[in-house]
Amino acid sequence: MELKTYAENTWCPGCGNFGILKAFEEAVKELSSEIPVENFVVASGIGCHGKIADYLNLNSFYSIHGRALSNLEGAKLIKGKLVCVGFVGDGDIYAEGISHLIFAAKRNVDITAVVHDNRSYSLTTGQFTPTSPSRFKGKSTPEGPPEDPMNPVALMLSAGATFVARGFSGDIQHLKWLFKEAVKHRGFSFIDVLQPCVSFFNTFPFYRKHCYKLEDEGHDFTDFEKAMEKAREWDYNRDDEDVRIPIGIFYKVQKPTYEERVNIKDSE
Amino acid sequence: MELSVLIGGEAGEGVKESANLFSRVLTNIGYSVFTYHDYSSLIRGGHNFSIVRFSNEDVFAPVKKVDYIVALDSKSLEKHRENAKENTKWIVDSELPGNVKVPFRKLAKGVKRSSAILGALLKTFKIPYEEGLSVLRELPDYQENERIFLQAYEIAEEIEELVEVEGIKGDYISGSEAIALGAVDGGLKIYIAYPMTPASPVLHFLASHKRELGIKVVQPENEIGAINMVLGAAYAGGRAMTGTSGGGFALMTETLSLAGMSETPVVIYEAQRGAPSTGVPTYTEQSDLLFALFAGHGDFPRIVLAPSDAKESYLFSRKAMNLAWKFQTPVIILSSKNVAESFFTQEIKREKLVEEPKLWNGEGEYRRYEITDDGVSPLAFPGTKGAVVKFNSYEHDPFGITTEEPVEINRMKEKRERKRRTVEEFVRNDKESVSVGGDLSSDRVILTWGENWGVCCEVGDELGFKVVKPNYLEPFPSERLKEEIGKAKELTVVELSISGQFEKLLNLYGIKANSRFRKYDTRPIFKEELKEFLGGRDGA
Repeated sequence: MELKTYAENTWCPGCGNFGILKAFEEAVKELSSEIPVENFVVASGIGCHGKIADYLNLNSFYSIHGRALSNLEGAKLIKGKLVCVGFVGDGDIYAEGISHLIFAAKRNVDITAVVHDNRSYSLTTGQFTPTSPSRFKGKSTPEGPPEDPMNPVALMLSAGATFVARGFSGDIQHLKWLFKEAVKHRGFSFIDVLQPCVSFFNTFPFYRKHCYKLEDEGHDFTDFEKAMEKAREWDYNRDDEDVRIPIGIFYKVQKPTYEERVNIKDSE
Repeated sequence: MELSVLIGGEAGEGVKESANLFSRVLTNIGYSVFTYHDYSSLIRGGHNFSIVRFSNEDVFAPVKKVDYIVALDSKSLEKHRENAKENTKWIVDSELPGNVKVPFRKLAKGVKRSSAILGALLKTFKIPYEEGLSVLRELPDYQENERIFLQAYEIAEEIEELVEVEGIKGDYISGSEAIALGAVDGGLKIYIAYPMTPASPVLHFLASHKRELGIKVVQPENEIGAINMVLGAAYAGGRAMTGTSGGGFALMTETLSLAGMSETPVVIYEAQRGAPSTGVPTYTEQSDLLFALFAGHGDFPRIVLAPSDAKESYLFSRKAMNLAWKFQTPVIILSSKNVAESFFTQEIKREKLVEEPKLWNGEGEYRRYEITDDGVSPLAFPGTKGAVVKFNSYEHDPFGITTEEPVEINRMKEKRERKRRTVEEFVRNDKESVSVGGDLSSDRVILTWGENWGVCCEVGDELGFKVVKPNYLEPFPSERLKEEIGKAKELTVVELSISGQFEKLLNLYGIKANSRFRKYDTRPIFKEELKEFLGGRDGA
């Protein structure tokens, strides 16, 4: 199965996005025995991450800044068999599209949101984003942003997402597993993927040193309080030596999806 | 015969409901009714009124001076003195001075007062009470409403005998209900909208009838979410529509451009209200015209249709749905409060009309943006074996992959431009692109659009003016308009905009008026006002 297109890849050499692309291609290949490829729909927003729509030989809606998840919600309401995966950026969805993200989680729409979280607006040459730490010296904030970063994992747990995870694009095998779990999950799946930008904010060495897997420590992902505790373990502002960054599935439960509830209400 | 009744009282005491109930009875026994509802942006208290105008001939516009005034409170007495003629009859709550006293407030509480008003009005016009019962049956708590209705019927006085009418003139239907039904009959699968007056009645109507109509209705987090969900639904192959007013449409403009670039079919129902900004939320204006024509960045074709009454709301909404899919481009239905929330007596012949769009034939590799002569590329939807369907907000090649190559950019821009010309050609051949009414033989012409059509035609008939209106505002049917204007020796533009947006548009196409009537207090044009204005002209 060829999932590549003829589009020339224009990500910087060494970009964290390559890990996401690779992990997703492999996940789709492995899932293709269960899910026909024509049923996959990917959508993306605006930013370096968005180019993934061009690089995948799958149905795609290359959308605008912050709106990709809304497009997928509409598609899913019309055609339930579609397997919808939104690739969105941290600036894209945590800033411009934050309301759509929170509501997608609140509704438990059966789509997967993969956030390419490089913690920098990179295609616009390096400004701070909602997850940039205060040490991030960007072009618009040369002294660092005068605000603290948000914690999207905690935010999504509060918003009602039924699948909340964090991945690291430097660990492709683990990320592939997360993608497969997220796609198979019935309901809203959220994965914040730590994805270093080698040009404006290279965090590869930092993540390599500090990430650990939740499943290695027997984390119970059905326990909301434990999930929240783990979500708070790493404050996105911290970069000291003692930091531990959990990756893996924080929380996973089953709840009726938005499409099911809309359909039941419509046919009552 | 023509009569009019104004009903005034506080919000929440059944003013609007009573006007609608009474109008339904009148429609059921064969009259033509036009009902205007005037209410402020509040829920309880304040002052609301409705004007029911009915006749054995067709009526399509509100009047200022009425024959009967039902006043529930002293504020109504005070405020509506200006609506009274010399011999206007006042039917009032027992505490107030008037010709006929009915203890409306003692008979019933809150919205149920509408049944009391209905009883009093039917008695006034010697309409058998059974006619009232048949409309009351649709209300919840029928027995209580029936009791109140009969008590009022007993107390009120017989004043006037109506002339007999032959046959039913139509359905009693609002512009909003007609928009909703038109969309459904044009193949609507899902209506996605965020509440905004005066577009919300479409959302409410579709939500309460979604099962029998077989559609889904969704209220998302905001207007931006709404229109993007519509695009997603269309991408997946489902006909979808959103509705809003000027402020909400402003939020949607970013996605309007996305629809233009990605060539996604979308229908946006825009019910204008007093503007700019929050403006005058529950009243009417036509000042979003230029905004609707030019909203969004970049060059892309669009269609703007403007209905004037319920029948056109139905037909244009159904047509909008088909045109959006035929041309894979945004279609805006530009209405306004006085069409959306007024009720008309018109025959709506419902008929499903879902034209198949240009579809991929399944041969070879699917190219979403295939270069074609008419600029329209065949559609395929995700979930189709053998097709990879790539919609793109960036400039793209035929397959849908992003491009920044000058040659490719030109090719794709020229494809979209050819589509614009295809749409223009379609409108040029559409016999319904322009409406004419009034005195067709007159060389004095009124040019207007949207909600003013009814009032202009009525006045035109009486004073000898031909009335011409474009039904498309984009592409603008300028050739047809010029033909209809002919060699008119007098050209008057009637519109609801202080800066004359419609006249500006006409100027753009070389049509110059020598007289203009502009109203901008956000109230509709009352018949007397236009008559007075035009009556002052030579020959009237």
